[in-house]
Parts: sequence; structure tokens; C-alpha cells
Amino acid sequence: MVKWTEEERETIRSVWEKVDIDETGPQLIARALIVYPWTERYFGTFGDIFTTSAILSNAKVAAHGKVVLRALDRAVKNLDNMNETYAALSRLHYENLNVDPDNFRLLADCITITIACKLKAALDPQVQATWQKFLSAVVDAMNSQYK
Amino acid sequence: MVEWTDFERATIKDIFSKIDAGAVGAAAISRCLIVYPWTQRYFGSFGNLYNAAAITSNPKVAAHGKVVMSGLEAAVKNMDDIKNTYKDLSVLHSEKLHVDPDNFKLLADCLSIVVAAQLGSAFTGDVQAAFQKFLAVVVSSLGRQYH
Repeated sequence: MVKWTEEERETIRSVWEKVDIDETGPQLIARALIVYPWTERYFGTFGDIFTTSAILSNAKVAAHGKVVLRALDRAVKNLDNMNETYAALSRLHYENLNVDPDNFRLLADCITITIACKLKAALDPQVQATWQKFLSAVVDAMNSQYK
Repeated sequence: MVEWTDFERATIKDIFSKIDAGAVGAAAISRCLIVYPWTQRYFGSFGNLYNAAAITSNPKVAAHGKVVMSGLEAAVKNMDDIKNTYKDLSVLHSEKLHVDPDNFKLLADCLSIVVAAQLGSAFTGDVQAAFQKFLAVVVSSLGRQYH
């Protein structure tokens, strides 16, 4: 199980409270689809996601970004039992959605970059280190039900 | 050979004209040393790297940041032949400095985050994709002469 110091818990909470799900959510999946275009294969039902302008104006992409961030909120609130919190989500992504787990890491990178654009200097190196530790724990939890 | 679109060429030149190279180089190296502490092993002659404050105020770290950025600027000026431009640098890192090439990717990730923080909302998905493609070519070229 991952150990969190008081300082790390505080840092994660303070980064998270600066994130506006309605503002950041839509950017998140859009960024992944643009920067890592093979991820488009997972969103066959989303309609046109094949050009940057289509991606940025696609309502389903925007909505799904918010879904992902709301799930991340659960991780922030359950730092001490992330694996349990994400067990059902992990099974869903493995058994139903057949998502290659490498993509969780790519999405985590997109989350960090989107937050870096917003927080700028406030995402200093130590805050980045803690935030990336948090996201690796999330990625591990998403991997937990994969065999 | 890598193909660059006009958008990618323009974007890379634009990024390098907008960023404060000295600050970005120093910030990226510091961030690497803090977020991925094992990289400190390569900088034994840099003196005090024992904590984040020491790292961010270390003048040798700042100076090395400038060295890295001028290396990147050479790549920007020779985008159609980064592989050859970096041949000697690759030999240096492999044969003299013995740097594990996985670390080039870590530095590239830190560079993305620092540039994202500097450019803010101007670091859109398309800009990120172009910048990361550029960095991937640089990383690959640095690893070329390893055997």
C-alpha cells in the first residue's frame, strides 16, 4: 500500500482544489486524442474525433473528460485505499473496454500537463513530484484488476 | 528520416523564440533531480544537491541547464538532420558519461512540464504534440550511438 506523508496529502488536496472539473475536464481527453492519436480507437461511439477542431468541439469528448476527473476526485478522497476504490473501474476497463493499460500512464501525463498550464509556477518541482506519485498510484489502481 | 509538417516546424521555432531558455533549462534539470532523484548520480561534481532548495539554487545546475538548451537549439536549427547533429553528443553520453538513455525521456518529460507552465493556455494539444514529437526525435538521436 502506498504511504502518504501529511505534507503529500496536503499538496495533493491543494492542487486538486485548484482544478475546476468543468474547465479542465473537456481539455483532458481532447489533449490525449490529439497528442496520442491511437487512443481514438477507444472512442468509436463519439462521432468525429479525427481532427483537432472536431475533437475540441466534440461534446462527448468534453463530457467524458469530466467523468474521468470525477473519478479522480474519488482517488483524492481515498488516498489510503485506492486499489479498492478503483477495483470496479479497473475491471470495467479490462474486461469490457479492453483498454491497453499503457494508456492510463499517457492520460496521467496529459492530466499533469493540463494542470501545469493552469497552475504554472505553483506546480513547482516538489509539488510535481508529489502529484506524479499520486497519479502513479492511480494508474496502479487502474491496473490492479488486469491479469 | 523524420517528416515535419509546416505547422510543426513553425510551432517548434515559435516555442523556442517565446521561452526564456536559461530559465527553462535550469528549471528542467532541477525538476529532474527533484522528481527523479536517482538522476543525481550523474552530477556528483555539482556539490550540494541534498534538497530541493539546494538544487534550485545550485549555480552548476543552472549552468548545465544552459548547456542542455544550447544542445536543443542546435536541434531546432537542424530539424532535418538531428541524428547527425547529435552524433558526438550521443557518443559522449554513452562512452564518457555512461548515462542510462531512459533518463533522456525523463528530462524530456520535465521540459514539457516547464514549457507548459511557461506558455499556459498557449500550450494547446497541437502544440504539445509537436513539441513532444521534437523531443522524441532528440531523445532517439541521443540514444543512437549506444551499443
